[in-house]
Amino acid sequence: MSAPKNKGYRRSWKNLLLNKRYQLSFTLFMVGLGAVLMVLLGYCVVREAQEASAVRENLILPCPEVPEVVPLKGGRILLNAPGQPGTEIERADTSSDRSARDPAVVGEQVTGGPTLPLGDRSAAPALPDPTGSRRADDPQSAPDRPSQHIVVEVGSMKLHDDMSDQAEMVATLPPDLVDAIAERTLCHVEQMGQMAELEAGYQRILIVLITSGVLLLFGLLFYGIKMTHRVAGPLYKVTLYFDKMKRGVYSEVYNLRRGDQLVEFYDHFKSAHGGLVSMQREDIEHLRQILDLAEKEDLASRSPEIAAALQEMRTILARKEKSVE
Amino acid sequence: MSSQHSSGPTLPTATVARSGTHGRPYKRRFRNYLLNKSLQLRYIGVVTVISAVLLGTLGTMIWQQKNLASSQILASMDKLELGEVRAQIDDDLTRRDTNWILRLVGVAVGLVFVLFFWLLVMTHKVAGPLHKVSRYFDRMAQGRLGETYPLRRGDMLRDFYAKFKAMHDAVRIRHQEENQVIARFLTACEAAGVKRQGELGARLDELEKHCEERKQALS
Repeated sequence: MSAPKNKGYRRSWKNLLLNKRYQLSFTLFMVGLGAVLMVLLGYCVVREAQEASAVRENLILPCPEVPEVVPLKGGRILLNAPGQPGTEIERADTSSDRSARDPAVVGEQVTGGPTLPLGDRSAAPALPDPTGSRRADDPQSAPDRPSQHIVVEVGSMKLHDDMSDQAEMVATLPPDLVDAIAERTLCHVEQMGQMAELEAGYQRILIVLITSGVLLLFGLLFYGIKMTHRVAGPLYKVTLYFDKMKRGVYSEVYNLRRGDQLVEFYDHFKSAHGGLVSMQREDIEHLRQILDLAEKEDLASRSPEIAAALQEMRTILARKEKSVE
Repeated sequence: MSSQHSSGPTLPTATVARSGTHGRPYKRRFRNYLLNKSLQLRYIGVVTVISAVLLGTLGTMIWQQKNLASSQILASMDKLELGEVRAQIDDDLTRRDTNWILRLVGVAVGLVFVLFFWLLVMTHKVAGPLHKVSRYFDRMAQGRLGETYPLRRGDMLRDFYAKFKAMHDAVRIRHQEENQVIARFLTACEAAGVKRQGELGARLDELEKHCEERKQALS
């Protein structure tokens, strides 16, 4: 029996799950395994990334110390060099109303050096603002209040009032103060950059893991169903033929679709189908011969049993002939 | 159809009920686990490769993070100019990282082996019924429609097998009933004194032989 070609059934999304039990058990095993591996190893990756970040954070060296300038009441300024007692500097201006005022702070940049903000920060250290921004919104730097500037120059510091130049004080400062302050500021900026980089790296790893995990699981789900469909498809096709054969219909058997699996199994089925068709044809041949001869010899008239049997044989013959059409 | 005709000799009918309750004592043997290579190895291969890729990719990511931490520690040692201590720490870190890689490779190999055997068993539960049905198909191709036996415990594709069995039993019973009609005809001819001579006699002998052969094929 020559095998007819494919009948032209196409794969359709709605028919993807033909044998739910088989397909889902295999697909979900694959997806579950992928999920377990992703979660376990992803957790390890995140933990290691955290550890690497912690190591890097711990290894960030502290920024170099610089002398801090602390304004005091009465217009005096305390210059604290790291590891040395503070040097107190007396203001030259004796004006009582000014000496009572708190020093306002406005940074001023001199010869390309960093700004040095000073405020009423008796408790806080006078570290430079790492961002280098002028605090224009600071109420202490409002234009209606008299302000004092600390002008830092290499080797000296001048304290003067914006309103007049009467008050002026000069103190000797370390010659590398500006460089030290600049270095410290750059160090702080660098540290903040490193921390941001660490955080960004950690976030990147997390996003990559979650995204790839979700994509992988959906991919596996799709691929698993598609892969098992190539097995379930031929099985489904064979069961349709089973239904026909059960009803005694031995119609043509068409080939599998391209990409289907179980090709060998399907060949066995086609052989079985062919074998049954051969049995039918053999029976038809025998029945035809005996019925023709029985009619010729008028066997039905010999006994009612023979007549009844011949009638049944005619029915069987008709059914068999129809089954292999 | 007069299959329930009471007269004439009674040929054995299909013992469907018996075949549905007793299974042949086929046992699973390890050497028979790979019954359908293309089907089984395909699935095993896909799952194993996916697992290996996952382990490889995420393992590399973990190793990169470990390596990053180690290199940072060493870089800080470089800054502090601790020659001997650095070398010792370098050795320790390298050993630690290498041990970790070896552990991961060990886990990966173990997982692949476990997966392989687990999936072999799992796919065998599909390949087994297919193999069994294929053998029945081969018999059917030779015109033999004997008894069918149930699947083993744990086998999959039970719905498919049930449909196959229903078809097989239906075809078998139909052929048995048809054979009974022919046997009745032959008995009636004999009872009516139809002589087995000439062309009619030859045809009757041929029909009787066919009926016997079919009876054998259906038993």
